[in-house]
Parts: sequence; structure tokens; C-alpha cells
Amino acid sequence: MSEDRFDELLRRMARDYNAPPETPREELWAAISAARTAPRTASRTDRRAWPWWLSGLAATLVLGITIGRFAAREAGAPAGGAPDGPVLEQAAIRTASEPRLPPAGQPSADAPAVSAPERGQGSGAPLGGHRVPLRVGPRYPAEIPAPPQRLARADSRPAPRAAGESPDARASAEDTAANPVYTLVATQTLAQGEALLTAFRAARRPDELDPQISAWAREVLLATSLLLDSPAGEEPVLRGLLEDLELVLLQIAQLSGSPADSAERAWINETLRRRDMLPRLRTAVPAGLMAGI
Amino acid sequence: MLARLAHPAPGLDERLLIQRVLGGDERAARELYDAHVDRIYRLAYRLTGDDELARDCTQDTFIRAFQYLAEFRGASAFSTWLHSIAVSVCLNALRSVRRLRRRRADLAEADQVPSPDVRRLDPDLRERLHAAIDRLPDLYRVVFVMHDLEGYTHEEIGAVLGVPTGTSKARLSRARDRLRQALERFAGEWAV
Repeated sequence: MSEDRFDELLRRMARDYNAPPETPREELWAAISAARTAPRTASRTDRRAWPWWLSGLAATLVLGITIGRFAAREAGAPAGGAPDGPVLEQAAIRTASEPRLPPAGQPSADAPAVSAPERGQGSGAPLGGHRVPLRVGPRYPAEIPAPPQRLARADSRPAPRAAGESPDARASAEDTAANPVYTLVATQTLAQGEALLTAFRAARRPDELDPQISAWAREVLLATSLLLDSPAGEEPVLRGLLEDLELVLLQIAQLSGSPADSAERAWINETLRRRDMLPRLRTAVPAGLMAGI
Repeated sequence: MLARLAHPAPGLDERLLIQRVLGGDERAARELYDAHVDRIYRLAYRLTGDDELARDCTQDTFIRAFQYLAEFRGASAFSTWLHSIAVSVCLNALRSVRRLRRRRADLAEADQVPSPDVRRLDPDLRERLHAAIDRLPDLYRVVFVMHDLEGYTHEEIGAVLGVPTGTSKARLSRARDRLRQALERFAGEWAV
């Protein structure tokens, strides 16, 4: 067969290669508009890559500060009384072995919190060796419909501090703005979340899902939860994004990889779309950062 | 066939439109989006072969374009700039997902090697061609998709990819060569 004839046949037969459907203009525009109106959490000056050891250091700092803040908060609660001994030790013991109780004066039953999907695992249940904290505040924008009512209340940890609730919260938010470490860690966590969700979306069938994705989700989930409890979680927009990410990560972390997961996967995909998760994450993560992950 | 990067919508003054977008005019942003979204989505779909991924890439392309619109100097056509972002976003997204797909694709491919007798009767030559296109290196596949499937000219492809026109032609030629090699054992069926 001559080259010209082959090329012509090639073009003809390749015409329906990945033939695109009609452009979903309105859906795409809605997602783009939503992402554009969300303020960026990181400026372009953060785009330069940082050395890996700085990321580790930043994560350690967040962990330490978070534990310290929890310990200080719980030590200050009059109901339980101040714990004896070093504050960090007390916090570490509590984190590892006890369900958290709300400090006196803080409502727990009225504070909405997300639990695991109603499959038997409640909030704070051990998940792959980690105790996963969960919470949700009034965070969904009115124009984005909430997911089906699969969320249950959990009373195992205190409700999140509302933005502006106390001078302490405001001070924490100011800490965040002033502290580039939080921004750094938040950006890295969001970038990892974006990579994970992209990988999740790419698997069309349960058997295409990487078995390690649940373990990966647990790691990112832990970092997300820590960030939410750090001063970084006081920034309202970032908090909303982190909370949405936390919810989705929890669901992915619980996937077993079996065909029985298909309903769960469909629901996760629906959540991703309704919350505009990927566009929001991509808006929050400075361009070029993914290359370093 | 689509294409024509420089003039997506006759009469549309893009420079003015961009100024209005930069001034915060949402209607102008929508106009700009409307003028380009079809071609960007089509290209994203052709390159990714997945609706969700194509949507993500299209969204990401426009989000980034609006985000960095102030940096667009007008040295090239806006649509050339936008297509450059789109190709980059699509290839980055594909890199992320390929790691997951590769192992399974290799297994599936190993399972699908047919016996010679079956080959003659294989009704899915088209699928084999599509698989061969999938296996092309991105360097060649992008040019093949843009030129042979979406109708972009070599000049346009060169501008989008930042390579000389001759390079675009050479890549297309290599892409076709590879497809020919991949399918030459089915040459008899092609001739039918």
C-alpha cells in the first residue's frame, strides 16, 4: 500500500479515536467561576520548590505545634482540671489512647461533625492505625448542593472553633498569616490531595484502583487533619477546602478495592464534582508545584 | 475538522475582551471562555480519552489562563497561548494517571496478543489502531491528534508547542511511521 493511501486510511480510521462528545459548557463554566472566586491560598512567590528536608521539618513543626495547642487547650479546661506532668506527654497519651471529650462549656451534641459514612465506622474510629479526627462546620456555599444525607453526628471531639469566635481564634489566624511554615505545609498537603484525587478519578473501574491509594489517602488525611487543628485551619477559605478534602480522603481511605466499593466510589466521584474539589485544589496549589511531588 | 487558532470568532476583539476581563468584567470572561472552550475541550478529550479528565483539564486550563491573564503580552494569539496551557495541563494530568494504568494496560495487552489465525479475522482493527495511537510517545501523539484529527496546521502546532514548523512535520511523519509499523501485519485488512 502506498504511503499516501495508508495516511488517508489512517486518518479515516483514526477519526473516532477519543471522539469528543458535546462540550459541557455550562458545567465547566460553573466550575471555573467557582474556582475563580475562591481566593488563592498561596501567592506566586511560593512557587519555587523547597528542599525535601524543609518539608519534613515543616510537618514536624505542625505536628508539634498542634499537639502543644491541644494540650494547652485541654489543660485550660476547668472540667477536666489541669493535667499533671509535662503538657506534651499528656497530650500524646490522650491522642494515642482516649477519645477526645469536648471541654466544659463547649457544646458537643449541637456541633455538627462528619462521621464516617454510615458503614459502621464512627468518627474517631481507628483507621489503619491512625485515629482520624473528623469535623465539619457550616462550610458549604449555598449554591453548591450538599451531598445525600450520609453524614452522621459525632460527639467524640469538640466542634471546630468558628472563625472570629474568640480572640484566641483571631490570634491563631494572624499566626497563620504571619507564619510561612503553615502556608508551606498547607500548600504541600493540598498538592498531595490534588495528586491523589486525580489518580482516584483516573481509575474507571474498581480493579483499576491502585491498592495503595487507601494507604496514601490515610497519610494525606492525617496531614489534613493536623492542619485543620493548627492555626492554618482558622483561615476560613482554607478551612473549607481542607474539610472537604478530609471528608473525601476518609472515604477513599476506607475503600477496600473490591467491586462492592462501586457505590461508594460513585458517591465519592459525585462529591468531588459537587464540591468542585479538583478545580479548587488546583487553584489553591501554585502552578508547577506538582512537578516536585 | 477544526482549528484556526488565530481567529476563533470573526469580529471578536480579543485584546479588548482581555482588557475587560482584567478589569473584572465577568461577562467578558464568559465571552472569552465561549470563544475557546469547544476547541480546548475537544483537544483535551482527544488527548486524554476520558470525560472526567478532559473536563478537569479544560477547567484547569481556563482557571490558569484567567489567573495569569495579566502576564499575557500578546506576542502570540491568545488562543495559541491558551492551547499551550491546555497541552501542558493535559500531558501533566496524563503523566499522573499513567503510572496507575500502565501495569494493568501491560497485562491486558499481554492477554490480547492473538494467534495468527485470529488476526486475519479480527474485526477490531480500529481498536488496534487506537491502541497504537495510545502507545505513541506524547511528543508524536500530540502532533498526530492536533494535525490529523483536529485539523490544526503545522504552523499552529509549532506555535502552540513552541517548536519550528519543520519539527511539527517531522513528528507527524514519525508518528505515522510508528503507526504503520504497529499495524503493518494487518496491511491486508487495510487494503480491503
